[in-house]
Amino acid sequence: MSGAEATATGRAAGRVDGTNGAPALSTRSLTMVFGGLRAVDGLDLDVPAGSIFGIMGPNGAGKTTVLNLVTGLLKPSAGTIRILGTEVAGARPDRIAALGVARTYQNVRLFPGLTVLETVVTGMHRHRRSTALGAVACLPSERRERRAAEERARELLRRVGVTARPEQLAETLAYGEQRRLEIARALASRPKLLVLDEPTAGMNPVESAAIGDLIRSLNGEGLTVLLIEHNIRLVLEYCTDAAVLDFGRLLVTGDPRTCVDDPRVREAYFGKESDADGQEPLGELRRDPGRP
Amino acid sequence: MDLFLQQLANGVALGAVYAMFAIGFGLVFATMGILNVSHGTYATWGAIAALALLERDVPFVGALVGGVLAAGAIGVVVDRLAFEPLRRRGVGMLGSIITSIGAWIILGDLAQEATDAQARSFPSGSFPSGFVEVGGVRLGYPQLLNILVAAALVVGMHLVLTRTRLGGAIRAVGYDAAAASLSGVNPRLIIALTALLAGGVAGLAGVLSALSTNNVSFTMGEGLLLKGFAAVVVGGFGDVRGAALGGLIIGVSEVLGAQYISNDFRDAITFGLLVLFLVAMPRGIIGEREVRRA
Amino acid sequence: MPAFLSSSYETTLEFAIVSALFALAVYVAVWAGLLSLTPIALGAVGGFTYAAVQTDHGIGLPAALALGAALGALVSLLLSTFLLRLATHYVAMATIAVVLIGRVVVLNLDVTGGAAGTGLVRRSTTGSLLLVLALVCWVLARLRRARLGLAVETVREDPVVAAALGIDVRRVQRAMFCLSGAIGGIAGVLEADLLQYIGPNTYYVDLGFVTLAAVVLGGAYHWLGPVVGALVFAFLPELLGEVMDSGENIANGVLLILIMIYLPRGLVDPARVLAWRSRLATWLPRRAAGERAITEAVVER
Repeated sequence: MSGAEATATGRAAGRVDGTNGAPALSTRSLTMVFGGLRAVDGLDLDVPAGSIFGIMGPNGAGKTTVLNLVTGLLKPSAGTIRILGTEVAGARPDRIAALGVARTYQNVRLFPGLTVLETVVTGMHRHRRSTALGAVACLPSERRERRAAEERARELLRRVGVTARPEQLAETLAYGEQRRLEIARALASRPKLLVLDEPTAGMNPVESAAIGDLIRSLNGEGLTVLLIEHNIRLVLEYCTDAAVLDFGRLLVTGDPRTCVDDPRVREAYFGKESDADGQEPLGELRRDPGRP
Repeated sequence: MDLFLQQLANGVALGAVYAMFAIGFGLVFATMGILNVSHGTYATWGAIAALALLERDVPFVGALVGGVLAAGAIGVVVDRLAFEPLRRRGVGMLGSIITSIGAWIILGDLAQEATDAQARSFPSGSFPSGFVEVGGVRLGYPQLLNILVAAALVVGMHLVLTRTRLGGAIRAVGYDAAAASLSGVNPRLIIALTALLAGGVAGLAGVLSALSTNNVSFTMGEGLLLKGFAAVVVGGFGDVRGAALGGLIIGVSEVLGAQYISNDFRDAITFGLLVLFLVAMPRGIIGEREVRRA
Repeated sequence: MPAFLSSSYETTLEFAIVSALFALAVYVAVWAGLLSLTPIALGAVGGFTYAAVQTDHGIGLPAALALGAALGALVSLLLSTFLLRLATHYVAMATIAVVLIGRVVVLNLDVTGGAAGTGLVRRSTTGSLLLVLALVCWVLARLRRARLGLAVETVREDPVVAAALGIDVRRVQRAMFCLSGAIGGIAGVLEADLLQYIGPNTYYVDLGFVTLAAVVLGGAYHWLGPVVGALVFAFLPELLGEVMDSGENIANGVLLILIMIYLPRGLVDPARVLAWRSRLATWLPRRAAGERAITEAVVER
């Protein structure tokens, strides 16, 4: 299946999660001001339910800030954020997580001192039925619950492709495995919206494609995926929708191909035609996305 | 009214000692990010050193200087042994609190041995006894000394810290040691000097406190530590004037509280103020920039 | 008691057990990322309440322990309403202030005996002390990797990520703060019982500092750490005192400084243990099914 076909199938298969067409995420006039800097400036963004939505933009465009606003790590200076129908601007991160949002981070943030298995289990906190009293009293129902949780954690690890021993300390894993582990932890909370911050940063094309396939497979199960990606090839191959940010503002949104072809986007990344010095990497991409 | 003014004056004299101690304690916290639990023992050792000198017929001035130097030296030694190795390894604030507890245990036990766990006092006649009368208020010579020395110290320290290169270097190292060294400052030297200064000032507070209360005991530094801590919270950490103001407020409220509420309540007001400020105004009256970690 | 344990060592052991309980109380708060000396103040609550009910109502030790734990938890709950709002730097200082104020309260109340203090009758035995310690350790061991224990770990290490996983950070902190208070109350009751006399200086900042030091020395990353730390602090001077005439008390201070420089995570460090176990697993081929894959990988290389 070629990239374009897979994308179309994904798009068709993706929009099934029954939120009657309402976007999974929607922002209006979202603004974040840090001192004198407008990191996000009047952003109107719509992430369709069931999509794989790629956010692109040069460094400093405000992409991670948008993610932080959407997941509650930052309180916006102005604007609204609707997630799965609920207004959440300024809400606490755990309240937003309770709506079914989970995320990974630009720099992997795993908990020091926890093993691989324990890391994934922490993601399940919201859904677990275990009680402190039960744990202390060693009730059999507790032991069963715990074994079930650990079994599910192992499944998730298999799903995302973490091959390290579950008893290993999470921080001793190889970089690529750590990123997958972070995804497993996010998936553990059974999200409806998965937010990934540069999931393939530092990965080679093979690893990146594997992540892309994983994302597509998760999306096929009804999960909306919002990701920040610098790898434009990946976005073109796997995303059903995209948006390009620059200086905290939305440049263009819609079909990934359309976004990438937009001259304003090229200008944002590479400067005006006259600055380019004959370099045309983006142009090459437009002509032949399959080139390694 | 006379009683009020008298107690006010007594409070100021007491507050002067607290202020002196608070200046040193606050300086260490503000510039090195260390909450030094052993700082009180510097004061104790300053008093013990002065006592030893006085008992060998050294005149008071000499004993005072000796106490200050001894405490300063101890301050530097503790910094080299307990804090410097942590700085080199990048261990955070909790680590330095723990090693300061270690230093506190060591210095406290040694002080106990040195004084045989007995409360002593400076030999009578070491310092002129007598009073000064100003507008119906009576101040003993030691009290007057406290106030004068504290005032001189506050002014002097403030000028040194804000107007001299040394002071600038101290504040720069406190803010960002790496950046300071790029500007030609030697952080290790400056930190050693800061420790010397802070220790010496504690020793000064210790000697003068021993003189005013007529008491040298191995636990005397603890009371100063707690009051100094409260003074720094109330007055503000980073600024010498804040420490002084805090010390004055604590001293005055303590004496007036003891007089007008009850003697058992004197500490209640001090620590009540402490909690109040921690909750409502943690930066203190003369609010400071962010406290930096060592 | 075994015959070889001389009576002076038995006394040291008993005080070490109570120290260990205070250390565990402080550890529980540190476990959730809170540096707090309030267990000392709550020990005072437990101890003085015990003293009061002992004389007035003749209440036995187990009931007193339950009462101490309940009061400790309750007062902690009240304190947490304002303490948890403070920024991290200031929480520690505020808890020192709580202990300071505690002493003033004890000084000024009649029921606590004021400056003179109050006496008690000893009800515990070495065995019952060990039992209480074992129970507290049991509770912490059971919680450690249960749902709550994992949540506590995340709150300590990275509260932002924990919240993004749906964990209510404030609630977890409050729960641990109350548990810490309950254990502090228990420790206070037993301290009063052992000393048979308590006064305004019994539950004071010096106890707080030594307890905190024991926690960090022993290791603040596992419940066994504070127990080990308290035991070391109690027995090291005792053992040194056999061979030294004086100065054995400074040994604890020296040890503290050395440990923070060379073993900053403390004597008991689960990460260190796990790292060694991992290293062992790669180098020692074992017959267990799980190890076979690793063995093959090593042979292949």
